[in-house]
Amino acid sequence: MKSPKVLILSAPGTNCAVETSNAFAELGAKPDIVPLRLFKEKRVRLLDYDIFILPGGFSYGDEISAGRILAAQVKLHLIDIKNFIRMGRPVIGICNGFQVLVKAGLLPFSPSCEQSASFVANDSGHFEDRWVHLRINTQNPSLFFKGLPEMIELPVAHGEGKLVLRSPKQLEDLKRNRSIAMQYVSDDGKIAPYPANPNGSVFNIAALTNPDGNCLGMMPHPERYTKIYHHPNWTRQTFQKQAFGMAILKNAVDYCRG
Amino acid sequence: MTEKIENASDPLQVLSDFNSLAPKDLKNLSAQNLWSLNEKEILAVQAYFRSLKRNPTRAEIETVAQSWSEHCRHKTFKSPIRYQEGSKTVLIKNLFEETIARATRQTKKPWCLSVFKDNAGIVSFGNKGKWALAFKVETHNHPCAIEPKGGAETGLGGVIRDVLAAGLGAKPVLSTDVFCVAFPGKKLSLPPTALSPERILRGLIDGVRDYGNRMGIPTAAGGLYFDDGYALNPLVFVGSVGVLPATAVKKEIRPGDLIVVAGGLTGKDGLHGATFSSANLNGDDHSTAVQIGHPLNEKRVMEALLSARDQKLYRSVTDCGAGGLSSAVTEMADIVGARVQLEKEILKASDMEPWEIWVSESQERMVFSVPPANLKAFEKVFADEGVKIRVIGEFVKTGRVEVLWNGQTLINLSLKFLNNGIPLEEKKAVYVPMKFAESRAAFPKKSIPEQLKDILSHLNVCSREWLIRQYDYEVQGGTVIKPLQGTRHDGPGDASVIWPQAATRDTSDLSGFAVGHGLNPSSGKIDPYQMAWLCADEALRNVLCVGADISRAAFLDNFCWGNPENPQVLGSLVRAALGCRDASLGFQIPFISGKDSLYNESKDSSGKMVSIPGTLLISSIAPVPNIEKAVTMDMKGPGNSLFIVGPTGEDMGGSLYNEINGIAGGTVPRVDVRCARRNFAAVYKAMSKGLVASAHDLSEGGLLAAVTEMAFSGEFGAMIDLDALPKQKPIYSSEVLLFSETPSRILLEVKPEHEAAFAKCVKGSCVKRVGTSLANPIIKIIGLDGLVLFEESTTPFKTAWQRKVLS
Amino acid sequence: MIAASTHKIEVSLKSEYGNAESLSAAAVLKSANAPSVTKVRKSRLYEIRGNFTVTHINRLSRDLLCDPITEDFRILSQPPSTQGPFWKVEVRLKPTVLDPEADTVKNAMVEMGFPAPDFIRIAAVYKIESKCGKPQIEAAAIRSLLNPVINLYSITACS
Repeated sequence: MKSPKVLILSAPGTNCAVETSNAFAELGAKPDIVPLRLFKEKRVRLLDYDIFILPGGFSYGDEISAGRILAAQVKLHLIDIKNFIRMGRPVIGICNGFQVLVKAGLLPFSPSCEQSASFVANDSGHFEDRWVHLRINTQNPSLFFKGLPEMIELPVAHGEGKLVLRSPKQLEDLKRNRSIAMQYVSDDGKIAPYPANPNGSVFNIAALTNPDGNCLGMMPHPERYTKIYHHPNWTRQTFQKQAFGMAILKNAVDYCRG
Repeated sequence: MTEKIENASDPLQVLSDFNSLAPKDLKNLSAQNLWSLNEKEILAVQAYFRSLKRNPTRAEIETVAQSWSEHCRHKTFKSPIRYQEGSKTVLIKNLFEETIARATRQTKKPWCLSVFKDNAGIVSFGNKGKWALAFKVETHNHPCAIEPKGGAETGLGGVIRDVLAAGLGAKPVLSTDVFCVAFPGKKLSLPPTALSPERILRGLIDGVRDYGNRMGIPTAAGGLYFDDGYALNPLVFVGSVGVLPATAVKKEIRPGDLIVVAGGLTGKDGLHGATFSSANLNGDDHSTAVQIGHPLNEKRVMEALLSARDQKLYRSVTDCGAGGLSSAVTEMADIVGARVQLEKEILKASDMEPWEIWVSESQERMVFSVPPANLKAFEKVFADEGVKIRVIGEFVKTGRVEVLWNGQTLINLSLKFLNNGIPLEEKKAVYVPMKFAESRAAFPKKSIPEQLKDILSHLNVCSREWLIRQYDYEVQGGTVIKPLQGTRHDGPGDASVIWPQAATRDTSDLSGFAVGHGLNPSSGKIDPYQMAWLCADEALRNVLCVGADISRAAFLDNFCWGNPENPQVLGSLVRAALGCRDASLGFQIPFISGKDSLYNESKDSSGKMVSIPGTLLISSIAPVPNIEKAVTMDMKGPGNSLFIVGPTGEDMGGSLYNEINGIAGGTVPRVDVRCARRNFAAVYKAMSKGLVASAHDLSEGGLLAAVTEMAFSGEFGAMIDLDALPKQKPIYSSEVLLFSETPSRILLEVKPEHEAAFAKCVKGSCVKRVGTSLANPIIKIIGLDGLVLFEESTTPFKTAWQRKVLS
Repeated sequence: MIAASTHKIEVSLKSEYGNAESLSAAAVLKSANAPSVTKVRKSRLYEIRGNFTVTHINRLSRDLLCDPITEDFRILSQPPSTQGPFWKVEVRLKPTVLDPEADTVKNAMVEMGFPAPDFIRIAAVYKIESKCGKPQIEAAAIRSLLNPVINLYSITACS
């Protein structure tokens, strides 16, 4: 497959679809920004696509709570998504998209697809945009981090990004089935509190996958680091010359190319 | 009939004795109904209806009141003014035409695609001029004083709609916000209805954050300025930059095209916003004029509009802002004419009078001119985004605005009367120059490092990181130079650079742009004319410091003043406008859009009317032709040469140094525009060749504050030799050299390997090597005597600068 | 046919998930001259009028309005649990001010197949533990939590 088809879901309040689409277009994939409406009208089939992206933004204004309304709609209208995941095709929920995946019960993975985690307001009490250091879990089986160093940087920008779990036992499960994909760390790679952990997430979790590693939910924004000029310090030449966000998206495309 | 008009059973509400009212009664009637029409104006309205031999309906007077409001008409800037300065008196026929508009005409820039006539100024942009940038900055002061969060939200929403309605619609790619508020934490004697400065500031930030972030537009070019003169009347400047295809700049109205309203439904919310903004705040209940924003609705309208624009489904569009449908439809009808069936507008409140529907300022609405053949497709595009549209009439070649209510004529006014009928009164303006002794440096009470800490921790200088981070300044993936710069991403950038890939969808075009602001109210208290020059100079240096091509820069003006009926207030306004004219001509930079907000005065707790300090904001926009050549302010490495651009003078008047040491007044520094232009051009030339490692403008706190910020942001040190500083005349005080606020100066860092090429670029301009960057994070100053004046670690300076602003 | 009536659903964060919003409400109240405020809990109150069955309201609360992990909901016909004494401050937007959250929730309900509600308003409820008297709580709330220009509010003592 030369040009994997990428479905980028848009709903009222979705913000980051265009730049995500631009990134996939640059990678030679075929991105389509598809409004949720077309799913309701059954005019589009998820399984016709190779990659599924839930982009960032404030779907439905994040009213009630972040991603809540869109998650309810996804459960109702995107019934194929479970099959899509089961078939091993790449899914990425970015920021608001991650919140949707969690609130729709798709991450953390459970056979029943019951919601088992959630997000609450950042410990700082407000929205924050900052670049964070992330440690990729080398044990995580996912397809998205090939060729990336263990430590990367990406920006986060959210107000309700503190991941909380139903129980302490659930954290042990996530560790055991290697579902924790990325953690917020300090610049020397240590688990550290705010501001290294920008929201107060449990165990500094920044990203989760399903145990098969093809469904990724991440608070940081890969589509905001697709050129070296996105890095806050590109004028200083003291960082790696790879745009890590682009590398993550490229892995999804390469995976589909086989 | 001097009472407030009661709800009549007659929907037309004909004012049956209007034509026979005496002038005094007319004046009362205007005041009671919040029309804000002065005596001369309401008499002109009466004369018009007397000539028609009929009495007006309430809706007709409301229409005139909206159309003739200060907000829509800018009467002060367009009235004749008898201006007295010293012993000289001149008659200015039209302040706007004779200052700002004239300067723009004289600069003759072919890349200005639309100036002063559309909802925003439009300039050419991008590779081969394929694109255009629309930029508008507006104020939203009065609502923000009463309900800061809602005011900031609706203000930002309004300016975004202005950009959506620039040409056939631009996609917003950057929001800007500048706030002027009183110092927090001080006990001020406020009247009981006034909100505290903390509450106002918090509310403003919450509003811009919640609205801007939800719109998916980066807020990345702001400012925050404290002065107790804003305690009762905070100033809120919100701006928006949008990108549109160069082919979508022209709009037109053709008879036969339909008048279509799209967006939120019309309700009682926000009646009388336009006339309210012309009235001063007196603690009355203006609650209907205050609303909160609904960003999701505006975003739906935005998406639909951009899609309809690309399908070329309409020929003109305007924002439904102050004055509601009344202003939007009459502005669009221009000289053509419009016929409206008002009952077709969809309402969300059932108990609305027809006139209320006509002037309601319900948010998130836009008005389009749609050819009938496109209506179906147009409706579909909007329905897909969940936006209701309704056809409320058509444009007709009658030269009139006619509004029907279920077949009955509610309004029938000639557009000529509405547009030109306003009687402009000659106003009186007096400028009394302030007399101050020659400015000199205060006698220092503390050591230089201690003074530096005081300056860096001053609320008008200290870090804005806590505020900037609350905004989604990177959404759309185009913020290639961030507002926060340096190793730890926390240094004070002079400007952001935006690469609008989300609008152009062309990742191979590396064109970007930068936006800056110049604001200097403290100099305006001394001389508003010089304030205009300083604002222009600062706005330019901001964008130059990130590598923007200032030969292609454009300015926007925003005037916020007190009551122009007061000749001294108006005199100071005139003087600032003259400064804008001369600065524009001096720098050869056109103004492309502007706005004024007057009557910023309120009664304090003792009942005394207090006016804001006359405040001018000049915003600049300039292209960065290749974002790969952009520059940041953080020091890049040790052993690099530091160059200063521009000579230093003894400019301590109004300086932060003098303020901190308790000295007010003094003369305001003057901009030497010939020297500045030559220097700036040389700096841009060097930057475009990649020869400048970092650049930072010298503003509050002068040279020492600037070099310290560059050093701690880059986590290096700097050595400066005061003897090497180019000086306007001999200066023997180290304090003056370190803290003087001479304008037009920039500090540059140049790597050794680039020095020869750099020297070539800056030949013939005043750019001198004054020091070196150091590996150790220290600031080391060599005094005029060649001895070390001081040598201190940057750490305590950074700590002072990162102080907390709100608890 | 069910008669239209107003249903009230209160949603609050479970205490174990912290509450940044409640903490900041407590902080601003304290700085607004009510130093004796010891604890604030903020919750959301949905007032929904329309033809709904009890099942509707339960499903609506469970599937849309309340997060199953972090939040609890209470349908307010049930007797309130007592955790007092505290001051309950309810803050709503005036009917003349458009409520964007209510508007969005209303649209979402219809999209999810619920009957269209006639009316929704969302209130913020602050339960404030403090030794302050009502006038002081009221003054502090006006200075920090609400704005009489756009809000209606009520303050009641709960035990």
